[in-house]
This record gives sequence, C-alpha cells and structure tokens, in this order.
Amino acid sequence: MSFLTILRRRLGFLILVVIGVSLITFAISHMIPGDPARLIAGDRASDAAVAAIRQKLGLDRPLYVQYGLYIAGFVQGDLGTSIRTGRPVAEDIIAFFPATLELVIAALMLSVLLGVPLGVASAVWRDRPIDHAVRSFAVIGISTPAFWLGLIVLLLFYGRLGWLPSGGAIDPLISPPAHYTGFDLVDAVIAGNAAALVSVVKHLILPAATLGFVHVGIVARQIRSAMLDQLGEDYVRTARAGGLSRSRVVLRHALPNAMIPSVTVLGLAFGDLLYGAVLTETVFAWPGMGNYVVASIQALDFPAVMGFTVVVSFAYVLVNLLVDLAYIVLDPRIKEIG
Amino acid sequence: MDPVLNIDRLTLEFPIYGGAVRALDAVSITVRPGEIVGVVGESGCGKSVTAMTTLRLIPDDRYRVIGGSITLLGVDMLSAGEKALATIRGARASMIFQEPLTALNPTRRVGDQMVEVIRAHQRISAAAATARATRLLSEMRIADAAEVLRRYPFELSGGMRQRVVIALAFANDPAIVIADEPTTALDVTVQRQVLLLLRQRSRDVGAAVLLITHDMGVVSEYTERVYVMYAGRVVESGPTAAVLGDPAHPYTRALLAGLPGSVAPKAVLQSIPGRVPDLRRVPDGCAFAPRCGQAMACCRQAPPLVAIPSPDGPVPRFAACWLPAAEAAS
Repeated sequence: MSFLTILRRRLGFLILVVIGVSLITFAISHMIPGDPARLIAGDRASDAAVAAIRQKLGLDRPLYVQYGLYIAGFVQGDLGTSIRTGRPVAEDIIAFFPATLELVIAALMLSVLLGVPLGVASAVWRDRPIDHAVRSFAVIGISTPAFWLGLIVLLLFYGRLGWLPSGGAIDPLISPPAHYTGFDLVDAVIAGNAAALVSVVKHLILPAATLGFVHVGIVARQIRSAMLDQLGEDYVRTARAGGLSRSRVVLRHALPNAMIPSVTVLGLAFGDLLYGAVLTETVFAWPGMGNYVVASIQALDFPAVMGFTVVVSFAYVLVNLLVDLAYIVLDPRIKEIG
Repeated sequence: MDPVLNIDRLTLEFPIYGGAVRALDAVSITVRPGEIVGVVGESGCGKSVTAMTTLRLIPDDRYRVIGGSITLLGVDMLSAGEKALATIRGARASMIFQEPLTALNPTRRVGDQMVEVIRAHQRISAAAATARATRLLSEMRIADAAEVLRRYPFELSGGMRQRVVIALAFANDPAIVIADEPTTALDVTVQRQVLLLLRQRSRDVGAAVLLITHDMGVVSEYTERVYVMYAGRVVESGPTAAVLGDPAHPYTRALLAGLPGSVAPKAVLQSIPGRVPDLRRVPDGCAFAPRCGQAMACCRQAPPLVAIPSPDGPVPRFAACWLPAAEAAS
C-alpha cells in the first residue's frame, strides 16, 4: 500500500469522524438541562427578555435546523459565535489553541525523551534494580492525579524553592515576542528574543512536566515490553554473533523495531494529553483552551464547547494519521502487506 | 596443530523452578583447523546448546557452568569479558543459525547488516565494506549481488536468505564457522545447494566447520568426523565413515536404522522405542539404557569411554558404552 493510498483513505475517514463528533457533541450539548439564554440574561431578567435572547441566538428553532445551520457554517470555517464572549468561536480557538498545543507537544516530548530511555534500560537490565525502579515509577505516574501533582510541584518549586513561576505562559513584565506562529516558544526563537525565550521555557517546565508525568510511565512500560520482545528475536542473536557491541545491538537493531508498535501508544497519548491539558491549564493559569473550555462549560456556551471538541477530535485523528504514515517509514514490510 | 575449538568435559545446567536441567554432561568436542566436524543427535540432546555456548550466546543468567572449559582460538570463552567476546564473534569465529526467516533484522537492508558486521571488525570505509559484501554474496553464487544488498530480508526467498546468512558468517575470514542446523528450515533441493556452498566456502578460506544437525544423511555426506550426542552426553565419536559404517554404540546404530536408505523399499522404517529421557531426571549410568535392546545390568553404572580400534589409522574413535568394553574384555 502506498503512501498516497493510505493518505487518501485516512482523509476520508477524517471527514467521517469530524461529522460524527459534531453530531454527538451537538446532541449532548442540547440535551443537558440548562438554558444559556437564561444564564446570559441573568436571574432577574423578564421572560420576554430571555425569549428575545433565545431568538437572537437561534435557540428557539428546531434542533435539526440548528444543526444544519451549524454544519453549513462549519464548512465555511464558521464555528458559530460564543454565547459567553460574543466573539466568533473560530477566532477564540485560534487565539487559545496554540498555547495548548505547545503545552501538549512539550509534555509529549518530555514523555518520549524520558520514557524511551527508561523503558530501554528497564528491558536491558530486566529484573535488576533499575527495572524495578522504572516499573514502580510507572505505576506511581499512572496513578497520580495530574491536578494534585500540579499543586504539589507548585508548592515545592514556586512556594518553597522559588525556582519557577507559578503560572501563565510568560513573565508579564517581559514584552512578549512578536506573533508569528502563535506558539510562544517558536515565536521567541524566531524573534531572537532571548529574555522572552528564557521566560517562556521557565513557565513551560512545571505544566509540561505535570501533564507529561503520567505518560513518561506509560511510554516506559510500552517501550520495555516492546524491547523485551525484540531482544528475544533471532536477529538480535545474529547481530551479537556478528560481534556487534551490546549498545549497538540494543540501539540500532532492537530499539527501532520496538518503536514500531510504540508509535501507536504515542498517538493515543497525544489524545490523552489534549484532554488532560484542560485540568493542568486551570492549575497553572495557562492561557490555552483549558481555561476557555471550563468557563464555556460553566456558561453552557454550546458553540464554544462544540468548537473545542471538534477541533480536538480533528487534531487527534490527524495525529493518528501521522502515526499510520510513521509505520510506513519505520517498517519497510508495510508496503508489501497492504 | 592446536585445535581451533576445544570443549573439554563441559557440564552445564539450566536452573528451572525447583531444580535444574543438566543440558550438557561432560561434553568434549575438538575441532582442528580446516576440519568439518558434525554433531548429531535428536532434538533436546544438547547439540544447539553446545553451539550457542561456544560463542557464549546464551544470556549469562540463564545457565550455570558446573565444570569443564571451552577454548576457542586460544581464548577461554567461559571467562572472557564482553569486549573479548565481541572481538572474536563474527570475526575469527562465526555462526550460522537454523532459521533464515528470522535470523536477519526485518527492517534493515541486507547490505546495511553485512556492512555493519564487516566494519565491526575491519577498519575500512563504507564503500570498501560494501564492495566486500558484494564479493561475499557473489561467492555464495548470488548473481545480482549488488541488487540483493539493497533488498530487505522479507524480499528474499528462504534459500537466498540462508546464503546471505552464510556470506555474513564468512565476512571476516573466520577460522571456524559454527553452523546450527543451517538447512533444517529449507527445502531438500535448496538444502543441498546451501550445504555444498558452505563446504566450498570453508575450503576456500580454510575455515573449520562445526556442523550441528539431526540428519545422518547430512553428517555422512559433508563431515569428516562426527560426535553423536544423546541426553546431553557424547555417546560416540570418530571419523564419520568409520562411525557410520560400523557404529559401536547402540544409539548410533538405532539412529542409522531409522534412515530410509538403510531399509528395503516398502519395509517399515525403524524408530527408536521409548522416549528421550527427562533431563531433570536422567537415569544413573547410561542415559540410553532404558531404550537400548542390549542393555545389561552394568548399564546402570556410568559407562566407560572405550577407545574403538579404527582401521582408518590414527584418528581416534570412542564410544561411551559397556558393550565394546565387554567385547574387549572377552
């Protein structure tokens, strides 16, 4: 199967998923009790005022009409207007999503950069102290709630030690880098703004570590088991019989093959991280989608919640498309099997 | 001349839950330069363990050496460190494995894998190593060697892959090649080609071959001397023609009686009654006694190693059996 065939097939799938997600979120958001018009108008507003607001928002029309209008707008890049902020949802997402993505990518990189070496060490020194340490660490990581961990690291690194800032994405006293991509870290590098870069990195450490912590253990466990499988393979024995050094056999032969099943886990981790970011962001006052979404949910801001859900699902499916394409790069056999 | 490989009374156990499996019991095998030596026996007799331990390829924590030694090209293999092992493996001593389908890394090109092993032992450029790999494949009668180097293992047939594996074993001019059932996984016709090539190549470079097999036909056609193993012990050894022509140990006789060529057409093939003993509880004395038609009372004691007179002259012949001992006494 060629690169293009997979791409075509997956893009079709992508559209189906987005339609499905929009349908489900639309249904759920309109079935839960609560009246956004009443929330906007306030407790003491007259029924007539509430009805007027309802009409203005289109909430008085039949559900299928509302959905039809939503989809019609959606394909034109219009995700509706936020009930709470009064601005187009698409604009809000463009404003807030890059910060979330930055946090998620940082957390994912952290879990790979720590999780892969830990998993490899754990497999190579199986049943030795390092293996036990890594496995215990993985269990602790998986069973630690992110919001609790966030509070603890804040207490320690901000409260007690004062090494790192408590929240936000950049020091308010530093002029932020010019807006190129929306990613502060990338923008700071492009602008060559060293002060901003240092500040951005400092602000990123705690939230990214908190968010990524769980996944360090998940990645380590996955790599460990995939490595154990690979190290038991005949070709590893052949490589050793050929006189290759142990590190070369592990890093050049076994590890690349162990990465093949592991990229799936990374794809799933990305989805987890996107949703996990919502909680982490509220703890660290991170200016991403998390705070925006929590506020939108509390305000029964349907268009905003739906916009967020659809965009996150879209990103998730997109990442899994990348995972499938990564298989082709990592495993030459895929092309043949189809 | 000093032997290239000398396994001296090697006894080795695999610890298992609640006991140990004695995989090798005082096994002695000698291979001299340029010699093709066979090790033959049923599955589980310890022949593969012998091959693997010779290059120390079994993870150290899986087995226990009870006694004996392995001297490979003057190196005491049982005490050698990881560095010394890496220097000798794939260079002066190399190995060919049973399963060509899985012996190569599925995600790396054949050429990369060959160049890697060549450059692990020779300080030459990648281009020179590629040229050498091409030559090695051509010497294995692979016509489009340069093309095969660019292929992945799954794109090659089983026979082709095994030729690549053999070419790899000859990558750094070995003094000894240990071939562990190199053709068991192949078709009979391909098997013959591969074995002929293996013999040809070893003669070309003067390498000795330790050929591990369960196939008496292979032993008789390709080896000069043979060790017959049973339940972790060498029961008979000597020049192949003498051992197969006039076996001294009842087990060797039984193995030969199971060969299709030894019986008339349409007659029933002989099989050895009974089963290979459980290596956790090998009987005292001769391990083959429970299945042996000629077992005597004395077979419950460890059999002596009897030198068998050989018409071939100086190459020694031995059998671990009470029968020839009794014959010699009478």
